[in-house]
Amino acid sequence: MNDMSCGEARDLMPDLVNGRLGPEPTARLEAHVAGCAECGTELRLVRMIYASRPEVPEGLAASVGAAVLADHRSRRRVPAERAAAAGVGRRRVERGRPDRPWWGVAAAAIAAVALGIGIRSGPAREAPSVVPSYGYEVGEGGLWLTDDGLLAGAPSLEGLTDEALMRLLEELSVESGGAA
Amino acid sequence: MREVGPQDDGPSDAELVEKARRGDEHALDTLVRRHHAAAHRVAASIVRDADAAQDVVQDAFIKAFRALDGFRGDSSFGTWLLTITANEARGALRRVVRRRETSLDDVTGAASEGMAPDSASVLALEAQRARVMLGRLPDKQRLSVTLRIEEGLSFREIGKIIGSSEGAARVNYFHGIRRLRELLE
Repeated sequence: MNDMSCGEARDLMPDLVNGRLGPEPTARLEAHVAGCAECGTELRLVRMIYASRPEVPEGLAASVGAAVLADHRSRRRVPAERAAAAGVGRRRVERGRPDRPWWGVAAAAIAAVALGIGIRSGPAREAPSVVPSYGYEVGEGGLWLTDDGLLAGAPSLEGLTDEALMRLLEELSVESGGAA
Repeated sequence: MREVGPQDDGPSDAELVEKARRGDEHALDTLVRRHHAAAHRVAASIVRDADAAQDVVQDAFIKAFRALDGFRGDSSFGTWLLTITANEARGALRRVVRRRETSLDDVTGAASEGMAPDSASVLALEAQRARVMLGRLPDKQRLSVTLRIEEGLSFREIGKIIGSSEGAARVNYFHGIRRLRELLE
């Protein structure tokens, strides 16, 4: 036995058996164990535990590595597809379909139902294709007001051509007896 | 005591982790080859079922790499991985319906049969007995003993893995060793 205590010796035993102890402490530990039956018994136990380590199955690293890489590649692919769908990065545009988000269409449909109007798809027109079915009517020959036309149609004066506006004013003056 | 880390002269674990974060598949593979054995021993120590241990190792690596961005480097990659492995193994243990565990009677019975064993086989038999007894220790004692002896981890690292303080890991280790000596006498 030397100056090494039993406590220090017991602390170092695992490092000795798995080869992580330097030459100098190894020599001191072995000298201690040679003169200490108690520590000799414990070192024998530590060696037995180390010797009975479960064997690592052959091919485990390869199979785990393959699984890890497969998972890694799948995770890299999914964000790329999500980014494409969200309009980030490279995009794939399908022909013949409107390029608008699904939620935008849904919101428009809900708004249309709430307003009591329909949606028509097709080429854009200069004149509005959607008009209320009340308030006033647009006929082939001109603009006709209903009974409540002045109230309902007032906001619609905006956007009328000068010609249509003049016709409207003439009709109004006729209906009111021409007393302007 | 050396912390868990590379056993060769290649790039450090920290360097590999950085490369892996950038999507370097070779770095992922190197980390697997470097740490799969320790992970398997930890998993086997907890689940005590060879097939289940392999599944645990695979799941632990996948979880670790998925969470690599959250790895802050407070501990070594090896310690972090073994912590994930231990947690996975505890979860798997609940799912293992049938544990294949050799009983002490089977071991001693085998020893009494046949010809007188030579010194090498006596040593092997004693080692097998020690392994069986190790399986009878409480979880934290068993894990402290295996992590300290088989992996050479410090008590600080063992504490992180078993969810205890460094002092508690030390106590668990020495209680486990004392208990094993009693069982084997």
